[in-house]
Amino acid sequence: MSDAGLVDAVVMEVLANDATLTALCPDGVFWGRAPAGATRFVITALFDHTERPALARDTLYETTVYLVKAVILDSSKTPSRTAAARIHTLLHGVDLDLTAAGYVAMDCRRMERVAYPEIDPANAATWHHSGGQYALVSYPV
Amino acid sequence: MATEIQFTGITELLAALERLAPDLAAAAVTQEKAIATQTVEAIRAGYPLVTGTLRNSVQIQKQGSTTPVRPFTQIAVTAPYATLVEFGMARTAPRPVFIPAIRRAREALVKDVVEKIRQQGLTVTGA
Repeated sequence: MSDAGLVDAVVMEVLANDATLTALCPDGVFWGRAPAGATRFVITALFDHTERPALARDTLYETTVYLVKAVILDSSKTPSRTAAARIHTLLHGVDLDLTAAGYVAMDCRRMERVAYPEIDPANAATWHHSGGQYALVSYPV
Repeated sequence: MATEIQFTGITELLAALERLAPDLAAAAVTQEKAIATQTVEAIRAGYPLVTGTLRNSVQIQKQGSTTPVRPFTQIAVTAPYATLVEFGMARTAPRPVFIPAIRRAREALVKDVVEKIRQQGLTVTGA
């Protein structure tokens, strides 16, 4: 049985199980929003999703766009940029194993980069956000 | 003995293609405006309503073009914090509105132009 929600989980596991990324973002990988107190983390979020229907009720393939970014509280953007490069290595052009979700991955690639600073209104500290929009094309089995 | 290959209808084909481009451009302009208007409405509706500044900053900007067969329209969100809403802040989740809407608008326009080309009797592949 295919479950698109489990595809999300696979993507997060790929990121969370990587020691290099964990060292860069030790507070963890979170869906949508990080818990209070986290200052070096990865955010994964559903950005867009489209399905290409086939005959009957079948789905030919699905394209899921994830926003995946490192968010780091630091005066320099270098740490978040380094983490973004690791995210790219883990996702771009990688043949993800979606067996657990009942899907087969066809392609995973970055569509656009994301990089911007955010000034914290509470204390004027700078958060750096770096990553990208990753499109995962897959089909249910 | 010389081998000769003769193509017929090339002149007519070139003439048809030349006629097609201005017709398509004119049709695309109309469709582009309709899609842009729908897209702006969708973006405004998708944004959170706090002060209204973000929604009101969504604008259609008609861009100039050096050639009549390349009309294009730009949709802009001028509120300075639009990026933070779209991609999220350190303590808030992303709220993707603009980028998915623009992606769908582009797809809709391409689909429409392809359909119009097909209506002219031409074959479009890879679309």
